[in-house]
Amino acid sequence: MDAVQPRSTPGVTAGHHFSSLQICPHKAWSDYFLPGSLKADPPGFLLAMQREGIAHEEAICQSLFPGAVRIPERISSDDRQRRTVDAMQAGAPAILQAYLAAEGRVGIADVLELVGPSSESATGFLYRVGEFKRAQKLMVAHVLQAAWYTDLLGEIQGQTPTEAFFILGDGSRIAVPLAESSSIFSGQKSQLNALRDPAARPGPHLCKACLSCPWRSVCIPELIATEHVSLLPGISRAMAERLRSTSGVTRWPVLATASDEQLLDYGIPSRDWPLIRSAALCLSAGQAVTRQPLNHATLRALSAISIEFGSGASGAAGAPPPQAAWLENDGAGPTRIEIAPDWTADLSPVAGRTPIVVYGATELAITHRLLRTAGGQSPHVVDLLALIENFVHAPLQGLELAQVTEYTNPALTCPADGPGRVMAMRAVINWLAGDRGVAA
Amino acid sequence: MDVASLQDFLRRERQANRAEAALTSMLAEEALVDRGGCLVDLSITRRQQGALTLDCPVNESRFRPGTRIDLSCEAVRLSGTITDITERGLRLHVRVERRVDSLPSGPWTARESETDLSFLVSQCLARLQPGAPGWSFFSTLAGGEPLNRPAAVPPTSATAAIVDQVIADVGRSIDSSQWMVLDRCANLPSVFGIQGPPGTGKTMVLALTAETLARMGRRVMVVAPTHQAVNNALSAIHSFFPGRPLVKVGDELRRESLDDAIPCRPVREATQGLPPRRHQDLIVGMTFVSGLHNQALRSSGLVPNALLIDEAGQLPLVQGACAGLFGAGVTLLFGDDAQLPPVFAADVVEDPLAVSLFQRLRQAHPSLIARLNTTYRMNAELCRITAAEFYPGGGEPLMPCPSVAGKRFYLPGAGIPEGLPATVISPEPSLVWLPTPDIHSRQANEWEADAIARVVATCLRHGKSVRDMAVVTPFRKQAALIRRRIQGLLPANADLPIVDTVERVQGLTVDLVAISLAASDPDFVSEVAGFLFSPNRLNVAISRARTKVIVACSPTLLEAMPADYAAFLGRESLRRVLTGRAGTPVRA
Repeated sequence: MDAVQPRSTPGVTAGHHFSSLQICPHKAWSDYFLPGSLKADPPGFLLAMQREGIAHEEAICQSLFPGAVRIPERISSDDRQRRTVDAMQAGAPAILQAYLAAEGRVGIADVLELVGPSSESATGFLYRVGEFKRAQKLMVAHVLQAAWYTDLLGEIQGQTPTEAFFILGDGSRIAVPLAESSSIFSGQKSQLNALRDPAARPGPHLCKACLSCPWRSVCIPELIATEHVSLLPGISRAMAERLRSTSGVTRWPVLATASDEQLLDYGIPSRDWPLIRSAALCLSAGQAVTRQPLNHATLRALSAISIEFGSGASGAAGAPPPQAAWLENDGAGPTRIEIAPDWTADLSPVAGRTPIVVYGATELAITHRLLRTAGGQSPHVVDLLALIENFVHAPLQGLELAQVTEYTNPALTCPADGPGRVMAMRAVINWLAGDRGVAA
Repeated sequence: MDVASLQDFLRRERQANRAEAALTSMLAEEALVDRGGCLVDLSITRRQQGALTLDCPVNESRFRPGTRIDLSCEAVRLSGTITDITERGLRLHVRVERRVDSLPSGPWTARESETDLSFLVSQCLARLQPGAPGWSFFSTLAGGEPLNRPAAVPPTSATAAIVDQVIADVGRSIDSSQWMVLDRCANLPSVFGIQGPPGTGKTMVLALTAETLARMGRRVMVVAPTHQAVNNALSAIHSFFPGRPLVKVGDELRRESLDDAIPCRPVREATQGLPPRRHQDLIVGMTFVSGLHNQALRSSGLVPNALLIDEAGQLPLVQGACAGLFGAGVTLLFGDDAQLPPVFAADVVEDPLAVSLFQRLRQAHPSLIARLNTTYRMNAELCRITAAEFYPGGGEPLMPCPSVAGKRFYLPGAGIPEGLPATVISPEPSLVWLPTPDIHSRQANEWEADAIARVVATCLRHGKSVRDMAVVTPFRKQAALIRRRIQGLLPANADLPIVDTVERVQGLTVDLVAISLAASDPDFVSEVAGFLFSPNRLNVAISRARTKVIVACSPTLLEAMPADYAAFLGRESLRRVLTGRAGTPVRA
């Protein structure tokens, strides 16, 4: 943290702080105090999801709220707020991207839906908050976000609606009584208020969410530099706090060298000792730390495939149709196999071998389709990204193949081309199978 | 909902299952054992033609009768199906389809096989076309109006007489909700759902319905998702109507809990021993998937007029939508969508089509479902809790039968287990929360295991039998830990009460249920919140008990933050149950 200078005053609280707090308190604190320039680029799949979300929202707006007033985004905050209030006073049937603000707080609701005229409302009309979500199920963070906007709306119109609604990814509309979540909403607001103090910095803790967190380029180096206990799998935030507060332990090497009696004193159950010790050895040796042991022989037997897309780049979500597959070839370099427009390709060098490995959901789907087209019995096709996401516990700075390779084999740059990706996948597979990478 | 969307769902589920299987194949054996999908160090202790008996030193797997496994020992590989598990889980009885005399004795490893019904189901879905057999049932599920009753039916007065005679032959009274359901079924609706909350006599009503329809001259078939459910249903029919000819179509080795008097035969031999004039009287039972094989895809000569689907709340819609292919003009769904649902792959579990057949009928035609409303199991307090949290609204409230309402848990002469409050074994209250001090546990919680073992030991020492109680926990590791603790306190006891996950206790009835939720670490609880806070699982766990429920869990469980809103609502339901505020309305 020495090189990172946080702001002295926190930013305003917005709806997204609630989802940050749910994921990681340190993420919420970072949202308040760290400059946006320190954020890592979102991974490709997240960008694709964001694009889909925007398209989904547009489709809903056009079909469900055709007469809505839209508050422009590229004007000043004051103007956005003024136009929102103007639209409310005019009784607009719906207000898209409604800007709701008060001292130190802001919210941009996907839509304010007109409930009806109200003599008790400061604007003459009563509105309620609606949110559009690409997800098929409602999350707690969605509801807390809507509760936050409803609070702000209540201050503007003098009446606080008792429910908010959501349009989900399948087009269904759900109304949620906000009383259901009022207790956790109050608790979360209190926690966020407490985090608005720069001294209340929780500190990072390695978890699955770090792999796609925008603050990972700040947190991950700190975790490594401080040898944080969370670099060992199975050390929860509660356990890390207990280690720190009762025993002053914050570094994983302390746990690695602790005796059985010491680990008992620390409060770590005996069933976790083998995992802690083996993980510590792997960290020291630069080997992969996994949440569950992997079968090294099966891993090494994987045959890597990388898909080449029309532009020459490969592996990008939403890319043009595939034009070739690069197959790993024992002894020789990767082999290029043309993919015909009808999705036929000669995968015989790998089709009879099990299993195949690819990187990412897009290439997984393409490979499955190619194998289906080829007919016959399909081997298992493993998604290496999913394998890492599910089983690897390492301070990776992201899930893109290049980022994983950077962690495991910094000397091996991962080019975007097919043969380069195949070689990078092989290096990552070998690391998972016990080869040494960079020691923590 | 249309056929194309179901086919697409089926394809996505198959992909999700294959992706999951591919990832699992990368795990080391010890990880597979930890996950419950593998058993090691098995030894063959008995060989018969087509069957093996294997013993293992430890079994924390999720294997059950019916699980298909791949066995391996050195270079030898074979597949089989577990037909029974005995000796406290340490002995597996496996049917195999090869010679067994030359097999090495061990050590063997058993891994759960991949099973894929998608091809069969896809073929069946492809047969569903407008105007073709099965279409009317499908279109009802899709939201179309159900067909009127068939023209050729007995007059209503004759129907009423048959119903009255069936009830008289049973020799016991039935309550008004049971009578109403029976009467409606006898009037041959094309589709009708019967929701049976815990202890309301759903199985008895199914038996009465089957007998009534058979006496009305209908060819009756009973199907269910599992062999055990089919066997239970057929056995119930036999117990009430021993003169009714019955046959289970299926493997003789899959007759667990089937009454000995009921034959188990291949489909071609189903009517063996019955004169042709009595074939119409035969009630046939089989699993739903067997039915798809036999009825929809091959002509079996057993086409039913009336199809009774038991445990329809556990039958995936994508399979159940094909029920019309059986050819029956009357399809009756028995189940409860407030108890355990079907299991779906994680990647598709949020899909709108990831529901049971019963749930789908409720979504499309809520008026076609009737609920049995009198429980003959739970006392008044437990019934009130269950009704308020899991069966709100929807007509008549769930009520306890007067003969059980006032029952309490008595353990005369028993002292209070050391370190535990008196309420754990007192007659009142009927539901007790035992707060766990631990906050760092995941799938095993030693404090809870010790506490529950002491309660069980106290009960067994003071006159309760192992059949009077059950212990339910979400995690197999916790179940194994609790069993060890009980065995440590009672080493001379050969039998233990059931200690298992909730999937294994649906349908069970005991006096006392002890529930150990185990997880207390907030990060872990958040990870498994959807599973841990499932109201369906909590409902099944609590409602096994007649008089006493003990719930051991940490207060941190109630403070952990699920990501999923439905899981949050489940958490709040658990909070209300534990704090005595069950039924406090939250939604207006």
